[in-house]
Amino acid sequence: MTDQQNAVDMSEHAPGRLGTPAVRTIGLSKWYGSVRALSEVNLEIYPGEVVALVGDNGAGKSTLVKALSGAFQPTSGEIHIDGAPARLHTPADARKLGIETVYQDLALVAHVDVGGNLYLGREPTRWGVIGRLFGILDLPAMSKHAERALAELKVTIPSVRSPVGTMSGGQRQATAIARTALWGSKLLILDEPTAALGVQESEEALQLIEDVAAQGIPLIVVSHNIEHIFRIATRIVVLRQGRLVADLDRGDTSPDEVVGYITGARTSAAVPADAGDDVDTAGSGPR
Amino acid sequence: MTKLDIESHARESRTPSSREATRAAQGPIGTFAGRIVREANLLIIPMILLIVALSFFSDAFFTGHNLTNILRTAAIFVILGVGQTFVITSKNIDLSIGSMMALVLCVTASLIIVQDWSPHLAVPFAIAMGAVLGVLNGMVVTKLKVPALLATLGGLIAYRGAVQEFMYGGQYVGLPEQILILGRGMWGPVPVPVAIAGFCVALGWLLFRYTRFGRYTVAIGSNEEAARRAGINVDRWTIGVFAFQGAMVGVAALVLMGRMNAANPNMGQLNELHVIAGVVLGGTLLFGGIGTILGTVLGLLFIGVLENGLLLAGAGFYWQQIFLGLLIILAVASQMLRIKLQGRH
Repeated sequence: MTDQQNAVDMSEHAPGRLGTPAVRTIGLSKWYGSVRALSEVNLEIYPGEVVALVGDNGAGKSTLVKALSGAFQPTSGEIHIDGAPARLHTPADARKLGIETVYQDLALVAHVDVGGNLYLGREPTRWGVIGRLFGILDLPAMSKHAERALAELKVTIPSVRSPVGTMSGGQRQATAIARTALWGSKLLILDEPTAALGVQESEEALQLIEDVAAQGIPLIVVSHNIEHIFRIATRIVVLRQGRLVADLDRGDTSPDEVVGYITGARTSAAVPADAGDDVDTAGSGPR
Repeated sequence: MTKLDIESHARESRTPSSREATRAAQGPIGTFAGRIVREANLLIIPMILLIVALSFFSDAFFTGHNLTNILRTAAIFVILGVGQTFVITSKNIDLSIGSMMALVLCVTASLIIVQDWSPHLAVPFAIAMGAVLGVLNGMVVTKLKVPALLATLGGLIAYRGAVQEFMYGGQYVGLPEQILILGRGMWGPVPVPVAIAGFCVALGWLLFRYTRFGRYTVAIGSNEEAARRAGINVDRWTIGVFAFQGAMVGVAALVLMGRMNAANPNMGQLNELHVIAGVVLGGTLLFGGIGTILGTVLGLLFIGVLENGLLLAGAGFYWQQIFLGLLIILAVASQMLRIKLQGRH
């Protein structure tokens, strides 16, 4: 019954969800010893979507994100990219396949300039073979491209040549997001992008996320801020005790409903059509 | 494309000063002199004051002979300092360089004198041996996870022990002409050791500013975890930094050998502290992330001038040691103050 209802929901409210999902997880599970952090998660993310990943602490958000960004391997289940199974052994694997992650601590180098941070670890070289041999940086190209990438996202910073350490929290966040947007082609993952920011800076970050989303690359945004989620997300996915308990279109739901799923006050298994197994396990699960 | 142009125009007009800001960030004047001033601004003024004071108080100071002597003495420290700048910028430290230099020096001298090696072979050998010992230091730091301070303190003691054992209380005197030139020769009006130091400085400066090696040295020293997540092989580049320092030790060993015309197992003692003092005084941050090759040159010249002044004033070697110790403390204290004033780094 619920299955059918959801199938209808999907066709009615998500016209963008056609064709092959950019990223898809199939029965993704992760065990830490005897503790199950993630349980049979099926998630499909299509180009142009902004999927908010919400849930209480320990619900499995960061476990799911780490599996997608290659930080560790799931115990079972698969991750498909453009319909083909992908092996994400390391973060480098994930990056090569076009999955970029902005961690909460941003992972920027304070003493390197903005351009250098955008290209960190992937610097272009100049002067052909000799340049590649000695690793001679193409600094003008880095600055130029960084400037263009930031302009495209309407990010204003004093200069791409100023060290990241001299910039505000919002500018740093913008730099980190711009870096993922520059390199990610399949999926961008933002972990709590507004948690450390003030009101004005949060606003700018949200605007930036919308601009990035407008480029068509799907995003997963992990956040605790319901207001921000309703502002940017096209879809809201709720995790609880390692399980995907709700997959809602923003237009169809309310903050109250989302909070209900997060806290467990609501328990109807509003999960995608193929998750019949999950409903069973939920029934026999703890509690 | 057009949209982009419009946007960048809009951005330009919104922040008309962006160009000026860029220029300001590049220095008061976008010139070489401007760069020197910016990289070591803190030291230029005391340096000038010191030179002026010394020229006033001593007739012997501002003579060509004395100034050349200062440069010759400083050359070896500058060569070592170029490597140490990279090491300290990467948030490491290398205390083993003085002992390492003695070991490389004595082994190379014995190859030349006892084994009859050609100096042309001995030069690359010394540099390679230094690099290999540097790799060893780097392996201990990265693979055995021993903090650099302790790893290279071990090196300081072990390399010194090794060279004492190797020399067995003796020393070599009398090296071939080709080696002596490295320490004593003139290249036109320029002493050869000064020219060699200049070459090392130019090399270090280029590497630091324009290559992956320099960029990753900064990244590792500034935020190792971020570097790792960006896909940089932190261990490999850290070993590379120690290897580069080792190679510089090899070069310095050759110059010192030529200058002394001897190989003695007690050479190079306390040189590591002299070099570290100069590097830190020059503006390289002891806590990683900021390094300046030109600042290192200035810092070491400053110490050189100061020591020369003390000598001219009749103060002995022990006074020089006291001043060196105070200088290290002063340099670190000033950096702590700078960090405190600037807030979080």
